[in-house]
Amino acid sequence: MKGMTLGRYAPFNTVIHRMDPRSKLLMLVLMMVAVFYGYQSQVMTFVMGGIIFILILTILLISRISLKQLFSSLKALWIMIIILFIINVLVPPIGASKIALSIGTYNIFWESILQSAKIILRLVMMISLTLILTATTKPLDLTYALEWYMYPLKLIKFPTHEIAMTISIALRFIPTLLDETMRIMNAQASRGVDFEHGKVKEKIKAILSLIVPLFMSAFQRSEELANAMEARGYNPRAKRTRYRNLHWGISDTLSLIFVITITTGVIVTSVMNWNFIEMIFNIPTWVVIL
Amino acid sequence: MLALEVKNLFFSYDGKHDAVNDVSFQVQRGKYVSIIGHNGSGKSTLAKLIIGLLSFKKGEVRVFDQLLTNESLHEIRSKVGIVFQNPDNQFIGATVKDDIAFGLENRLVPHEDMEDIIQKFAAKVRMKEFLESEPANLSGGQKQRVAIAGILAMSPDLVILDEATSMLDPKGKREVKETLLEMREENPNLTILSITHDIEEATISDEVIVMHQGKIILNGAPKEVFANEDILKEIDLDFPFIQKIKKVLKLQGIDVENLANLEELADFLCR
Amino acid sequence: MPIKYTDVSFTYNDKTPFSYEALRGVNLEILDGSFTAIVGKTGCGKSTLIQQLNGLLIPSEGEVAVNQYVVSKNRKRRTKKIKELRKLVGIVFQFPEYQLFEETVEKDVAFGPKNFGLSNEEALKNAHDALRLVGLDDTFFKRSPFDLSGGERRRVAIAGILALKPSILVLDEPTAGLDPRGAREMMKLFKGLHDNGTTVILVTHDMNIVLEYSDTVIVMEDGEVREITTPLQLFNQENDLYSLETPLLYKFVKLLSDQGLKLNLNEIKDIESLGAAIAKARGNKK
Repeated sequence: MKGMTLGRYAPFNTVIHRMDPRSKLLMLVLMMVAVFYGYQSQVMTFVMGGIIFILILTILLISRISLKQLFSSLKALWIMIIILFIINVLVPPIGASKIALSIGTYNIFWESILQSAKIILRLVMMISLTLILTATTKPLDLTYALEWYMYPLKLIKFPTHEIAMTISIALRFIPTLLDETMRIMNAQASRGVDFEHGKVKEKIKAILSLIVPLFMSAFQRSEELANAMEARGYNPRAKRTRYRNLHWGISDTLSLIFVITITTGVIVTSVMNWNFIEMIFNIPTWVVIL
Repeated sequence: MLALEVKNLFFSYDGKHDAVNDVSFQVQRGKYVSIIGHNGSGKSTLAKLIIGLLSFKKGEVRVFDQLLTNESLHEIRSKVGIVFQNPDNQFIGATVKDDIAFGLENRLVPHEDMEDIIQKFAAKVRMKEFLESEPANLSGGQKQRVAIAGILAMSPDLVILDEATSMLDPKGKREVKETLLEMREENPNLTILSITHDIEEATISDEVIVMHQGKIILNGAPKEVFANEDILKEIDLDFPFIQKIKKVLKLQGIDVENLANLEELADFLCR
Repeated sequence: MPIKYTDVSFTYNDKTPFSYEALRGVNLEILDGSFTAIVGKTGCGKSTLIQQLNGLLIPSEGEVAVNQYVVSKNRKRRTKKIKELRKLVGIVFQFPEYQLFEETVEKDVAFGPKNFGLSNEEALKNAHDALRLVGLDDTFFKRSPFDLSGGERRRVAIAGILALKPSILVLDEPTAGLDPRGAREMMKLFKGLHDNGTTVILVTHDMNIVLEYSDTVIVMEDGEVREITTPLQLFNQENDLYSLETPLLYKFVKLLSDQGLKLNLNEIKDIESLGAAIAKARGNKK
């Protein structure tokens, strides 16, 4: 347990790792917007999607995130992707006319396949973007970034500091809690509890024998922690100085400008319904597809 | 100057039974006082009362001549540092650095000064190489030393140890004890109140307070306190090793009453 | 039948970047009815070793035989229904009070027996017997375990294992965090069980306990068994092997011996015998 890194964070020292978590968080949001914008023509969708995808792949490479990591995050979505595909095939989009495949009397339209591909591509990009953030940013730094963004909420007496403190303490205790879970499981297993097999009633009892002690211990822990924090002069409502400061650097500014440009470009392209392919090559889009 | 003065203190958790029952005692500045007694005798409760984590209705607590009240709580806590028993449940920061910084942040230490203070006190408890370590990768003894660094960084005048070594293995216990001795050497004015089960530790402190069922039943220099054999036997409390040895030797006709420690004893016996 | 470890090795997280070899080539026997202490620095593999005794962990290599049960990675050698082993070998882990979860003390203690198929009545009877054994009388039965003190909760947890009536009792630092009186009472309980025929295996750092209660000591270091010996022989060694804490008694004996007063260690088991030995040695000197 102790050697494991928490979540997806991989401790490399790339440019992306060194960037301020605030800029990374903002860029994630902006890129998500860019990924989701739609275009009138299918071709444009894929061209724009393709461009953004290549951009994302580049960043993945810079962050030293292995494709293996990417695939393992997608693994969980296998089923969803298949279901999406099936749904789109069964319910073709309006106006579907180009038949790709015929199985008996049933027709699978090109439009269905394209629609599925579009959704899947977006999913993959979303997950990749999130992976970039979590693989290059320590959970605690993310918390600090969130706290900074929540700062304006302080004006309406929203407890931003308390929430950030709670999250950071929770993060610190995750390995400890995992160890404790292991210990309790061992203790109950030694009393004959089977966590894998058994009837429903037995399984419920088994889970209770794990959850109740964890909760009770968590309560005791909270009380002791609160005492320790109070004894060290902690007052969430009072002013505090800060040890850890986030540093906004040149790479943050430049990257942010870059991402804003892309996102703006995407929005404009979509709204103005520009079609680069037609403009550049002067070819009707359908010819390109076939 | 009195570091601590407790007068007629009463406290009950459930309203029926007094966990602390009319406790009064004084601690001079610079002294090392041990409090011993069974689990449930009120020792830890007393520690929490002194630092205001529990509120009492009857009695008085004065820390460095300042009366403990809701208003003076914050100021008194700035002069007192307490280390609790469970190494995990007082480790707040994500790393050693962050944990030591926690106290500094609370006390509005300027950001510019923090790094130096953290480095200095981490070095004092010999945890400098572990500044970036996470608590999950530290032993109990290491975590307790970080806790000590954290409170020393606030330059307390009174340090309370609430069974700080109870949950540690022998190595951890040794490390913490050594750190404490160094602490004392470096700052002879530092007052230490140590709640402990370690009878041998009690023998080397300046004063021993024995608690039983919420009351102080013995209070004085270790030698005097442990001379009360009947009382200690009645509450089933252990004696220091040297006392036990002296007793059996007396039964064998060897009188060693006046010898102060094991080395002198060995010396005498081998002559 | 003795408990037997044959060429046992164990690696955590094998085939990952976090793999860690906790046990290496362990060969040992623990005799029926013995009171064996397992000692060694934190991280030497003691906890890993005992978890093989009830099948919580299965050796990466080698096998452990406990009566008719065999714990082994090899499916042909491994006893089917290895879970039954947990009735025979009762393990009490460190700070066991954290495992309590039922509404009442008696229900929690009856939980173990019920898991092994005992009826409600039988389980409760065993629970009551076990609770009385650990010194908790009938007034405790219907109380909530969370209302009790730390020491009482620990005793409930231990009763939870004793209710299974194990013939082999394994204890991992049972006196950790207890005050001296609590520790003494706990050890008295285990000694009583041992006197009644239970094989007791005790993992501990407290050398005073090792000296006073155990007849065999297994010393571990870096995942290997270094020595299997008796407490007397272990503490009689000249150098400070294995960085174990020497019992106070023996520290003083060493002090005397350094100053020229040699004592016969075979005669010294406790304070009284130490006094007698000193008097004898001085008498001899004159």
